[in-house]
Amino acid sequence: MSVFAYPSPLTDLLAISLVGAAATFFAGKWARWVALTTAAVSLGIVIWVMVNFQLGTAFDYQFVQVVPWLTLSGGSGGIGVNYTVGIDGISLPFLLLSPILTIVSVVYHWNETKNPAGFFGLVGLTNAGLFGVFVSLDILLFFAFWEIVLIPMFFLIGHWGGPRRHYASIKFFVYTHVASVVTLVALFAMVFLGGWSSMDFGGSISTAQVAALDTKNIMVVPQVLLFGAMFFGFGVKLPMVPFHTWLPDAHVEAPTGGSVLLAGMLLKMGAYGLIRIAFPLLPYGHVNAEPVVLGIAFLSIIWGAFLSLSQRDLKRMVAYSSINHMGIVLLAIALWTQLSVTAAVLLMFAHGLVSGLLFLLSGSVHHTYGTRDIPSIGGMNSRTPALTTMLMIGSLASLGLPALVSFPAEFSAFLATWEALRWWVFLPLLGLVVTAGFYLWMLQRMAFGPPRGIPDKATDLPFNEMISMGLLVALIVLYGILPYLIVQFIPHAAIFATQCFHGGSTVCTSTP
Amino acid sequence: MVDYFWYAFLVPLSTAIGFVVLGLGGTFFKKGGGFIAVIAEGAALVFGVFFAYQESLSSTLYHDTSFVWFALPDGTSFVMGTLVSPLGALMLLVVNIVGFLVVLYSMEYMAHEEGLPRYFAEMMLFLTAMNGLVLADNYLEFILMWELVGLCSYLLIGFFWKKPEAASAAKKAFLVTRVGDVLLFVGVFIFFTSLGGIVNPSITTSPYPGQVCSSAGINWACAGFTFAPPNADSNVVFLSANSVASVTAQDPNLMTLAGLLILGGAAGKSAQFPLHTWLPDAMEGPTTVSALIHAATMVAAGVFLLAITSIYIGFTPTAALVVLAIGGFTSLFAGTMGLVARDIKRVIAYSTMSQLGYMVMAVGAASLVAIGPGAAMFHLFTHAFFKALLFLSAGSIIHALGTQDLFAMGGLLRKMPVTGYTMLIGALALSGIPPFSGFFSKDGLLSLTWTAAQHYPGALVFFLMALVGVLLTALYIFRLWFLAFSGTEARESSAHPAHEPSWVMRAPLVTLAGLTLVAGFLPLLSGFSHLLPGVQWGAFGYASSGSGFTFSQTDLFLGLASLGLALTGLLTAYALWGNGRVFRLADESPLKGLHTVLVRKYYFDEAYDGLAHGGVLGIARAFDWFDRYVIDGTVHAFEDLFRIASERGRRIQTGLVSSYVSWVVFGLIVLVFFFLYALPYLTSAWGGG
Repeated sequence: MSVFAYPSPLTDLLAISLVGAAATFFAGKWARWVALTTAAVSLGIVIWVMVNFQLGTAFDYQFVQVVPWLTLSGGSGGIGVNYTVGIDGISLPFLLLSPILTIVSVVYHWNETKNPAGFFGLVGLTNAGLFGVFVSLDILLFFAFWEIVLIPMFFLIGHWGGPRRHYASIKFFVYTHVASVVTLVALFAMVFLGGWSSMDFGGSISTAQVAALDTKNIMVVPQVLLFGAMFFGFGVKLPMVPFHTWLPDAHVEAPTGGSVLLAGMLLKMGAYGLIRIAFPLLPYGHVNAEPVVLGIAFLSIIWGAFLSLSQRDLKRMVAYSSINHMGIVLLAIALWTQLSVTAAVLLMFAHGLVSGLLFLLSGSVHHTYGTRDIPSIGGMNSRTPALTTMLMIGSLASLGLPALVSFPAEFSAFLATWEALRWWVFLPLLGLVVTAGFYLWMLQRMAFGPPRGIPDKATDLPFNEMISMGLLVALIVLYGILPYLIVQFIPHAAIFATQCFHGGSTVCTSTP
Repeated sequence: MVDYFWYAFLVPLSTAIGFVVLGLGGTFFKKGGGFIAVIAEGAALVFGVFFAYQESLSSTLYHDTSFVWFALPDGTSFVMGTLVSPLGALMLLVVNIVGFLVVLYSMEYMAHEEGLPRYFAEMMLFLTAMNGLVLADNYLEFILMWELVGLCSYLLIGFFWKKPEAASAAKKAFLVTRVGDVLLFVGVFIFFTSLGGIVNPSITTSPYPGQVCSSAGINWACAGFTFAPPNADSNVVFLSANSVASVTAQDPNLMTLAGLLILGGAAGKSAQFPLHTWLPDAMEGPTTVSALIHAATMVAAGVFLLAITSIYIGFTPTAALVVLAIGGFTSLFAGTMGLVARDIKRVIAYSTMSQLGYMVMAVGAASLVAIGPGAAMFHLFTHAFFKALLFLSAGSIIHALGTQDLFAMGGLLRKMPVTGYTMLIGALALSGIPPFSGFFSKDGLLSLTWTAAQHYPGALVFFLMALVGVLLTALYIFRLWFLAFSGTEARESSAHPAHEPSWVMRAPLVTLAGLTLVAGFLPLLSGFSHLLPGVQWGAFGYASSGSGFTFSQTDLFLGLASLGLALTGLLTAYALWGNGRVFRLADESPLKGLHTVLVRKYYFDEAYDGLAHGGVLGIARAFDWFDRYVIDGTVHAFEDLFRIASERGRRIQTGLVSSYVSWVVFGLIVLVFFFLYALPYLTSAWGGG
């Protein structure tokens, strides 16, 4: 247990990104520079945190800071609500991903003309909210940041979006907000029924106390009900089939940068909630609900893959492929082993980079060719070779090609599936074949063949788009060749999450 | 002694540097930077030959250097590294000799094509991945490289991307092999979970052949033929045969399935029935690509996979028999389609499928009789040279004439004698005529299969299929040769006059022809035979064994039978197509129906297209409909529900104070009830805290 004597760097991170986002709104024509600087500084802090992160020494949260905030009446001595922040290996990859995707979005929209200050400010605010979600170790604080993230995304879609932006933004907001409310009720019920003395779920208490948080003192039936509510709440965000229909609409209408953050980060919040709260804190819940969770995971994988195959709109296809990939994440979480949770986190990191690239590409295809309709464009390679090359790299990364970041993640996830479920692994593998199918079919139609449907003014990628995509490609290759760079952080936290809440395995109290 | 083998990574590194230089800056060099590719691959060739030579001299068989790629605290670790093994060393020779000659040949052959830097960069990437594949020290690394060579195949088949056929063929190749890859994944998962925990660290070398390790009955390998599952930290720990045997004893069906799943992967890559449909279409790529990737190296990777896995397959005769059956069947099946193809490259592609079938059959036979897969690997070795030779000769014709239609050619021997005679050497080797290399390797694997069929009579059917395949092989390849070279005049005048290519293209042809002449005798060198565990070199019943030769009457009969069949095929081809004759089936011929079936490739393309469009895409469309109208429709129904409810609910706001007061009182009663009765009940009943 290491509470920082001085304010945690995570607090600095939150403060700087919030102040930076606020400043961006008023920075006028300098907005993009302020937004870029803020994101770059926050990335710097995250890298500092990564360098100083203690690898494999203890299961504790690190860089913890606790500030008492308020006390709710209830229980025996009231329930403490604290400002508690801290991270472990599960939150760290997201902390790294968020500023990277923010930088990518800002650079991509460098020449945004429609109220740029507002746009960059909202992107920065999303980033700040995401930081909050991934560093909070207090139920109420976590929920507050969870809600904060929704609001800038609502405006990004509703104001900067495509023709049906109002419909899509309202659908996005109402759908995820209903889910949030259900989550909130379940979270509070868990705290009250479990007799917690504080909303803290990891920061201010020792490992032994975390084990005591084990909510086994909630009976099985209510635990299953609570788990069901949280699974619904977090699962809508994931999104899982059949609660996914907000996603394609939101993506199709969202501005490119908004889509990047939506797919890259917002979807991960749901899975993070499952890994961090629903699964470890409600062990009876997830054990009893496992068949349902697995069923929904398989359904999402297959559904996402086949739906992608039938799409005509490039961006909608990528959106459905996200459902497929997040289905694999949900499957890996549901297996709840050390390997599978590590794979889930790694896969989310990979998907953040890869889907980010693919959404940037959808945006570029749209404004270069005036449409994203796959059958009406052909032979892109003859006019825009750079864009086409990027589209190939993005597609290949998404279909799980080795030496690119998704491969180690998917391979471990499927291996974990085989270990736990044996022949069921063929279902997600079928998804893998279909995924290869729809990407290659898209490339065959759009990228190759004789030129078709190419407007005269179509020009290749501008410099800023090249930079933002190049950054993602570099990271996709780097982490694909050396997955160790990110995997090294994850497994200890995965052990902690999967083993320490089931009545305190001895592994949790000793230093590994 | 210096541990040379630590530096084995230099082989893939040479071409990797070539790839980076050409990939990033290829456009700055003249002629697409072909000379850089030649230098890089030349370096890889030197290193490859060096390590193969060291391996042939070494007294230990496996030389492993590895590091942890990523690992989990529970001991699951994923390893990367290089493993110089006998089979891998043989493959290093194949990949780099053919690779170097093809890259050299490309300098002229591809000189007029658009996108040359891309071509050479992709070739470099392919050679890097292929060298990585043969040096892989565990199945995960193998899969990684396996997928990368598949990617290069995809990219290079689609090299002429403006042609819709090329784009389609590339996609088809990737998808069909992907189906096999998925099966391979699961096979490897089985190895990982079932064998991963059972290793015997005390056995670090494999004392085969001939050394008896135990009473397990497997006397050719006490340790894993190849690499262990990725469970070791830094040193590869070879599986003891006894451990595999004990796992097999516990769950024989699982090991059988593992063998079949691995076969699935190999069938995808090596174009074996029923995953064969992509290879003929892959001929849309440049001829050099066909020679290197789709004849000599990548398609042989499936056979290599089976060979290094053959110890595991050998523990379950069922799996080994299926391997033998698939190979034997494909050797005949592909040969029949080769008989009717008009496209010169497609004929050779069917021939590749058929020859790979022989190799797969031989691995199955070797597994059945528990000896090393040397016979299959020997054929792989000889085949790589004579098949690359056939492709490059065909490339020389295409380069000169600009057509691939056999029936448009004719009388080329006088105009292109070097091409003609080198191709003749390739055709004789392919048919199995002595003293060319194919004769020795094909004889070896047929005699091995015959031995296996003695123990497992079911294999006899497939042995006979393979024997008929020998006849067809000679028939289709000499049909090709006579149609192209015999006679006096081309049947269709071409835009370009036929001419010999320059030395840049002729040198690889002559070199490959030379290799085709000598390759058959190489197992007589004791160092080289070291790279072919289990091979029995011989001819006409005589087989080398240690110090001298042994004689077997059965082998003599087998050898004479296959030679007789090959000569029959050759003479039939001469009778039908020799001297400028063009034999075509008459329209009323009773064989016309069969001919149509063969031309349509047994309707596999139609069936798979139907499955893809009607099946998969149909399901996708149905799902899409359901998604739009049922799932999202339900969401909209909720929207309507709330809108209607709110319109109704608005009526409560009557503006009458008495009405509001009654609602407030009602609400208060509910709250009081909840706090006084329901909440204490819930906390006591549901929570103990």
